[in-house]
Order: sequence, then C-alpha cells, then structure tokens
Amino acid sequence: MKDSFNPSIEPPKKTVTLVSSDGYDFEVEEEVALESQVIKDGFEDKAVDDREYLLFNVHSDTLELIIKYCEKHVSSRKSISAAAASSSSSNGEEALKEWDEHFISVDTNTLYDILMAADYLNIKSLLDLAIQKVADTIHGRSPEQIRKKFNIENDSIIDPWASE
Amino acid sequence: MENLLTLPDHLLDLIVQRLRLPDKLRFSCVCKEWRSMCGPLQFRNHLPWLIVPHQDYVTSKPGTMAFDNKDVGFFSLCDEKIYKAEIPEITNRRICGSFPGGWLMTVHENSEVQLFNPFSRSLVYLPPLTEFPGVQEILLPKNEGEGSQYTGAGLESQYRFSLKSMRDRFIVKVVMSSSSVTSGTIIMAIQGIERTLAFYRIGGDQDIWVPVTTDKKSCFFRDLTYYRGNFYAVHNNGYVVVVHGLETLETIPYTYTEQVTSEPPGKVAERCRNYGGGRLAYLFDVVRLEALALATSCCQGRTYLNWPGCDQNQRGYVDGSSRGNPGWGGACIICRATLVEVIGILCYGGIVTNFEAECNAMFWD
Repeated sequence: MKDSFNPSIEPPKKTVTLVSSDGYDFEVEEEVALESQVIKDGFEDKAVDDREYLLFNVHSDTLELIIKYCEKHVSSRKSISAAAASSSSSNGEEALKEWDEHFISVDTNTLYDILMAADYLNIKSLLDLAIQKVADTIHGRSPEQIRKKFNIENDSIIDPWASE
Repeated sequence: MENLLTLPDHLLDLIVQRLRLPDKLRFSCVCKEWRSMCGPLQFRNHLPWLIVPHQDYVTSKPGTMAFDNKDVGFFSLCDEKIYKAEIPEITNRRICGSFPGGWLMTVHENSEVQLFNPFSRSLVYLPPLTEFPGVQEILLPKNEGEGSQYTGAGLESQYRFSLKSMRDRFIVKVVMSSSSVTSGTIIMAIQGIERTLAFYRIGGDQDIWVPVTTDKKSCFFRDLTYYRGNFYAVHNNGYVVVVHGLETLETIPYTYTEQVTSEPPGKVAERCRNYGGGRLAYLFDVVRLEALALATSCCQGRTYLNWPGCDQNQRGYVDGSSRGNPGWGGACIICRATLVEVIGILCYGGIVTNFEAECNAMFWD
C-alpha cells in the first residue's frame, strides 16, 4: 500500500473487519472472528490484507452482542486452560455458564436475532445456547401463553390437549 | 414484527428436539406450522405416556375396558401429571394393541376394528371382529328380529358372549411386522375363543383375517412378537413357535407354525398353565429363545405403578423387551382395570439392549 509510511507499525494482534447489514464496521481480533465456523472456513482463502467480511444478515445491534459473546468465550477459554496448566483450581467454566445465562436473558426479538445470526455465522455454542433458551421459555407454558410470549397469532388450530 | 414463526425449519426442528413430551404437545398446538413440525416420529424416543381412563370414566363404570367418552387421559411419566385429550375417535372402543409410531388398534362393541394414530389422527379400517377366524366359528346365526346383532356362543354352546365381552376378550394381542402402516405390512393377532393366530395383510388381495393354521394343537397362545421377519408366539405351556409361510402370499397349508423351543420342565409348564387366566406382559427376548420359556413363567405381575387418582384395582404393569439385543425395543406399560382387563397399552421404543429395556421398566416403577 502506497499510503503506509511505516509498515512495521502494525497492531500486535491480527484483526478482521466485520461489516454489519446496516453498514457499520467492527474490527475484531482474528481469533474472536474465528469462533464463527463460516468465517473460519473462508479464512484461508482470503488474502491477508483483505480480511473483511460483509454480513448481510446481521444487524449492527446483534453483531455487537455476538462479538461480545465470542470475545468472552475466547478470553475465558484462555484463562481456563491457563488455570489448568498451572493446576490451580478455578471455577472458570461455571462462571462462563453463568455469564452465558445472563447474556441470553434478552427479549424475544433479540433472542430471535441472535438465533438467526448464530445460525448464519455457524457459531455452534451460541446456537445451542439460544435454542435451549427458546426451549426453556416454552417449557411449562400453555399454547396460549406461548403465542403471547412469541407474538404468534392464533390460526384457529384445534387444541385437543389440556392439562388437568 | 419478527417472531419465531419465521424461523427456518431446521432451527425450529432443533427447538422441538429439546422439548419434553408435554411441552412438545403444547408446542404443536400453538399454530398449524408448528403442528407440522411435530410429526409422529418426533414422539418416538420419549418417555411414554400411559393411556389411563379419564376421571369421569373412573366414577362411571368400573370394570369396562373401553373409553366411554371422548376424553382420554395420558399419564406423563416425566412430570407425573395426567393430561386430558379429546379423542372422539376412541369413544366406546377398547384399545387392543399398540404399535410403534403411536398406532393403536381399537375394537368397538359393534365389532368394528380400526387402526388409529392419535398423533396424526389417521384412521385405517380393518375387517371387523366378527370376521376373525376364531370369532366367526362361534357366532350364532344372525337373529332376524335383532337386526345386525351378533352373539357368540361357546364351543359347546354352554357360554354366550355378549357383544361387549366379545369386544373385550377376543383380541388378545396384536403385533405388526413394520412400524408403518403400508401395503405389505402384516398384522398378527392372538384371537378368538381358543386364542389362535390369525393375520391380516395390509393392501393384500383379500380384505380378510386369515388363520395361520387349522392345526388343533396350535392354540392357546399367550404372547406374540415380531423379530427379523418372523412372528414368534409363546404357548400357554411355555414353548415358543415361529410362523412360517407368510412371504408366499398363500394361506393354509403354506402358513403353519413350528415349535422352536422345547416345553419347559414340568413344574414351570404347570405354573404357566395355572396363570392362564391373567394376561400379563411377558418378557420376550427372541434372541435367547431357550431362556425365554423359563422367563415367561417368572415375570408374573412384575412391577406396577400408580398414578394420581388411580383405583386400587387399577394398576399399570410395566415390562420391558427388545427386538434383538441390542435392538429396536423398549418398555411397555399395561394399564388394567381389574386383574385381567387391559384398559390401555403404551409402548416406548428406541434402540436398546434387552437389559436396558428391563432396567427402564424397573426404573419407572
């Protein structure tokens, strides 16, 4: 690149740029972006200076959440393996689980967006988390309550099941 | 506004897989699209629901074996609740058999026999009870004055069977050769006053129940199973026979039974005979046929379970078995109003070893 006066000044970590559907750029560390199987798969094919991904299906609000999730998981994975290496006991995994639970406690629309984005980007752990959240939300609710919770219109289906 | 309705099918499917049976049923009632996500196959690997009489039934007529109104209770093992389902198709019918995929075989007082799937609500008509070979032979000639009323008489005409008792007695056990109701599937039944074997071929040339054999010794069967292309039946005396000749599309004498295990030793055989009155679920492990004869005599009233509001005389009996070891099998629950009367049967499937199936059965007690 002709404009780069000093090519030796580079960020200490490699970064990748993710572009949301509404046109915002998110610069994230490479290993964070690689949490997405889709990005990982296409990663080797891309030139080093062209690591920009246009995510047409992911809104910036959602992308921000997703990046937050991936960053947390990358960093806590490091600290867990570090703790394991120094053989000091840690409750890192439990703490992460708690964090996940807090992370996914969002309103229905956000949950929907996360679900779609996790599926699109193929981030398995996040998809699992979101799917489980939906299943947990359905658990114990009557069809009417489920409809209300998820804004579903009653298409006058016959309901033969009722709990005593 | 975006909502879960617009989720692609593969994501909905992932959600459905995480739901337990009661949740899944409620989920399927939310809207038509979600109903279509919950096909009968989705219910296969779940803890079974025990079909129990609905409350009204308990107070009305104790001792009958049919559901006398459209409400059927389903006892869910995972949350120990009874769910009420309106299944008008089952009114006044006795459930005389259950098959993988949720199919039930039901018989009505008017002798109508149906295959019914409560999940998909599909219905298949089979030739009526009066056309079962073991029932036909004892029917009295139609009385002109009584219209289409049939009554059965005992072999020596000492006994008369009412329509109700014919409905409740004459189909003992039914087994299907496939989990899907398609052309070529054979339904085998222990039927009639002498508890002989008869079969029906779905989509066959003739729409009739065909006796397997007319051999007079081939009667008084106690249990029946299907394993790797063959039907096996346990005789009252404790030995096992295999049914031959079903693949030829011919009938007697091409179909016949052959004894494949020896009669158990004297005492065991006697015990088998003595318990003849009470139909109980038998362990049926065709892989170890030799051991089977002994096992059948040992598992009388093995385990039972209670459900909320269950009558003293109403208990669910639990038994497990598998087809193959490991194989497609599981545990079965039989709910009976008195010692001999079966109200409902529910089977639970999955690939398990026989040991696991037994453990499951025990676990549910």
